[in-house]
Amino acid sequence: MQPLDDDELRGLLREWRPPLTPSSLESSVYNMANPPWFKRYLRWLATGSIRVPVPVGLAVAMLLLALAVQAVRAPKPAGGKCVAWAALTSSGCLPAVDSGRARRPS
Amino acid sequence: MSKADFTAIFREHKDFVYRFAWRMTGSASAAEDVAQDCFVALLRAPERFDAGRGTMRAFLAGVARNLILKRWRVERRLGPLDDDAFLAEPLDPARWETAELVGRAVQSLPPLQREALILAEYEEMTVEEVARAVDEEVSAVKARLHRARENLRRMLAPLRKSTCNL
Repeated sequence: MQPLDDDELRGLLREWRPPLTPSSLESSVYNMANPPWFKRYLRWLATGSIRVPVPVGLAVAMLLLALAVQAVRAPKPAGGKCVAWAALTSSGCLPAVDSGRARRPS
Repeated sequence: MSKADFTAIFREHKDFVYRFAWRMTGSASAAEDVAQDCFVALLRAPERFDAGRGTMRAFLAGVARNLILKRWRVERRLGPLDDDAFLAEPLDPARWETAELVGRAVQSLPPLQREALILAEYEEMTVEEVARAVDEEVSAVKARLHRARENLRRMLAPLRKSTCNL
């Protein structure tokens, strides 16, 4: 089969026509480029980054480390059990004291 | 870039970008997405366009083709970009209308041959402009265009016969 010549090929290529550009394209470009403020902030929260100077970053890291060490070393509050019970009862440590008395022989 | 500048560029080139994306992807919704992303990219980083390196048309074509290739990569639809060994078979004119047949023929070309052909034949860009758009040497674009035309001549040859019979 003899291949097409240049003019025939060009003529055939012109037969394939694209659809018209959708009119919604312009508005979708502007909407995407200027999203509402909450979408901008959501995107920033998901993908944003902040530049922190090294001295500030180091100072914040050391402060956080010091706070963490202090929290680990801090003495436990006395009567830890009592604190737990207090959370369970509305009258603080009284039920434990009362039940102890109840068991004491009279 | 002011909003007025952008609007002028958008109105001048939107049809070109959409047509190019539609012919590359064969899908109206994909073409709309690509055109949208292409102009949003221009709006967000207008400094990427350097008038000293080429026209706005070539720049936008380059952005659009990169978006299309990225899309295909994500969808895992990207085969060999420029298959030298690709040898087109003639298409059967009895199965499709002429326009559809031509569309199928163009879309069966390897991507780099297809983009060169679309930009040169349909969008009437010069070989130099196409080379800038696809970031290639002029000689490479010429070779791709030659291979694309040869393949199309073979694929569409049955159409001449059917035209003569009419």
